Amino acid sequence: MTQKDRQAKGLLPTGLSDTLWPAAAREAAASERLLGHFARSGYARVHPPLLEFEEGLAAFADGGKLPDMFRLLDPESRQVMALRSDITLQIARLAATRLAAAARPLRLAYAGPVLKVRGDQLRPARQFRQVGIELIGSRAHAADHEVARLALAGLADLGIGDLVIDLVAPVMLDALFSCWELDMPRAERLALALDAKDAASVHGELDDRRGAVLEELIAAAGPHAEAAPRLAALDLPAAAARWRDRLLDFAARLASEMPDVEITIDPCERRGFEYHTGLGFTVFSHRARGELGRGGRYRIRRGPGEYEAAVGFSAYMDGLLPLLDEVKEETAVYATADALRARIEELRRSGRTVIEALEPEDPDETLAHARTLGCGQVLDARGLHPVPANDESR
Amino acid sequence: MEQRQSSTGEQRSDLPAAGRPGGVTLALPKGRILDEALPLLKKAGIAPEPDFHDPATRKLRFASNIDGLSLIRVRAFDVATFVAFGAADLGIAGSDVIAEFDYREIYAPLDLGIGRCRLSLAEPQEMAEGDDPAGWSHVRIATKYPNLTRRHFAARGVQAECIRLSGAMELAPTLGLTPRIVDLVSTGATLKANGLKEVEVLMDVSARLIVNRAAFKTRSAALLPWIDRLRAVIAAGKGVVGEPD
Repeated sequence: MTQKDRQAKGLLPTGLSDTLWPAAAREAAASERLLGHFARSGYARVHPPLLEFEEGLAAFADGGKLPDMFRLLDPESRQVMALRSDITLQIARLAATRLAAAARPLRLAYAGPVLKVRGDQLRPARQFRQVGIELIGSRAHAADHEVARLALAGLADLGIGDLVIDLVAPVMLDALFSCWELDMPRAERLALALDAKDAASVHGELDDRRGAVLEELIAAAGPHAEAAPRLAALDLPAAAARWRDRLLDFAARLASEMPDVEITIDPCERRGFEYHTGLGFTVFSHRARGELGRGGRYRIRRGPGEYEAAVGFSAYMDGLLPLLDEVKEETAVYATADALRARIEELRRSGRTVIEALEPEDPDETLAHARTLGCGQVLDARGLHPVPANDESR
Repeated sequence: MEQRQSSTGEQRSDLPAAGRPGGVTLALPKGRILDEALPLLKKAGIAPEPDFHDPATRKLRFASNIDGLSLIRVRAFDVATFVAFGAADLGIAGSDVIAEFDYREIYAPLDLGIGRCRLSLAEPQEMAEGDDPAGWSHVRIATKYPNLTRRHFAARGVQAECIRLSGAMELAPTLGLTPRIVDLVSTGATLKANGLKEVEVLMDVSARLIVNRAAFKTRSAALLPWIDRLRAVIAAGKGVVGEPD
């Protein structure tokens, strides 16, 4: 088959797909519902553009890197533009420029499609819809709480149950390593072993006392009730102990505020939190295999050596979609050509969906059309009638 | 019992994890590692149902003596994939396979100390005599491990052009497919028999217990006891805890 044949059949590039009904409607509704949930806590919605100057975007990313982005040349300015792969970066740019003078703390919410150059092994999609919030300009512990609480409550509000939040503090490990003054190659080997949760290899890189500390950190990962006392009992250098205490405090407050959510702690998790500068969290559900969203504290680069504190959360709608309940809508109505206009509009005003016949039909045609369109009722000149179940459809 | 029933309705990857309440699936690799893994599992108290040892069986999923623990037997390279996608919670995979796929969704908490060998670069004997690896800028290599090989040589500033083969790597140099190969070596006898010389070790390999990341977080109560039990077996094997045999 030639390229032309494939395109004639609508072949799309790898990782891109059309979302049809009812998934498209469900995704849009869920995304709006999340934004509404965030708005009720004061998170104002912003819409940054899909494309912007690559350099402009990189300037505000801590680390200055723009991974996974499609780039193209702007024929107008002859500069390289980047297609967003993460809206968080654009929010950072907004906070550092146009909203630099806005009152802090600044609460922003966003939703929109993002594109990646390549999908990863688990999620081959290259385009998906990101929904999230950022709370900018506060170092308060309460800011971390607000974002985590809103994330969990928002997902629960969508009807996603059996939520699990995994709390992490990659900065605690950084603090620990800097206290121990490890050389780079050793720190790197240690990081690899930690990422694998390979206690024996971790121990092999360190003396007994330090090895025992890290082994216990690995072993402490688990449900809050069991992990907390183990972590609390650990003898850590002061800088690391501060982060440990903050992590435990975070867990305890969440546990008391959100009794329906299962809390786990993983003091050695670093994967996916490379740019975080404080506590982080990942949300899972027992009903799904992958993660639903993640968030945490990071910093926005405002200029050379100048940073602003921020906490954020974002979720990708494609991961949430399979967990959303079917929207139970009242059955739609099929209106024949002779149905009264006023009655049709009255039904629509009351929230019903009414699909109109475009031509006069005989009764059998009307029933057949109503069934294909998923309408449970027919409206004709005489009024509303139920569509009888179709015996042949079985 | 639940697990046995569900073996008729096969799980799909988009099926929620709640479809197998409390059940744990362990993925085992066919071949080399399996023979060494079974005694380890036995010491940990896990014995597959008798069908597992029947070479004629067409079953792919097996029950065990433990209620709620089922076993699957898949190709060594597929164990990591099954676990990364959460189709299996636990698995036994060589560190070669883990490094080749580099899945972020896998933890490898335990070196089981079995299936030991090394992943090496080999080239024809006569070529090796006059070869200076420091001068390489580009090499063509036949291997089962294209990602790992590319990464390894890129770190040294060498571009590795890999031809992916699934077996009989040693034929590649003799038949002129590629001059060099990257393959598992245990004694080196196969290399020697094919006139090849091992010139560089890419990594030392042993089998690891691997765990799905999401399962580790959300179902730790069901998984941690198995990890701990296997850890104790390994420790006992190293003579840390004496175990009368």
